[in-house]
Amino acid sequence: MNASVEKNFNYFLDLSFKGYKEGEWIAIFDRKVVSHGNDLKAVLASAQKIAPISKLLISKVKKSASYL
Amino acid sequence: MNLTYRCKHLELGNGLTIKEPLIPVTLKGSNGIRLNVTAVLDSGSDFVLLPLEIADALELKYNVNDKDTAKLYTGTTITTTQSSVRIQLSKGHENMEIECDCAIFLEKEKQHEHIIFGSSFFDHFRIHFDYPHNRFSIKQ
Repeated sequence: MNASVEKNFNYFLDLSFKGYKEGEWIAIFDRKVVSHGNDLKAVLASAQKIAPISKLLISKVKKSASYL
Repeated sequence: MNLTYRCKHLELGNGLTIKEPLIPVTLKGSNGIRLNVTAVLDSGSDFVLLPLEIADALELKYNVNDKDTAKLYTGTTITTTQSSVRIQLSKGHENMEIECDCAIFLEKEKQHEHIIFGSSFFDHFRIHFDYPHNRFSIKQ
């Protein structure tokens, strides 16, 4: 994992998820959400137009408590 | 080797904030495919649980006809199949990599959670939760 992904993870930790729907995939690059949606394939394809996959951080939007 | 992370704070909208033990990892699949993802540590889950979309993006090998059933907290039954995945954890100059059994969650429409790192991940590490100080650490 490279330094840019670590920076993106720190951005993710502080991200509030406002403006995104619960359960959506998000792709983060350069401290920005560069792509989001319910279909991971489409999210990756869109994000890879902006950055190589090795520099993206992929996560999911979570807004409510869960009991796994 | 000791990797320390801070918890993610999640505001629930009613004045309550919860903390989550999320980590960034690189999952390695077939043909050199790698994905950097976040995963939640959950000692109550029996396996690493990957969404089907992640398994397919990594081109993991699995048999969709070799199905298992598992139960969620609510008692709801879900369908999974077994596979394995290489997991790389790194922070700064520290680096750890393991091969881990995983379950692939086959029902896409029910997936709203993060990737779950359960018991099959915990088997490889000593994990210390320090929620009063908003952190946790993973040691190998």
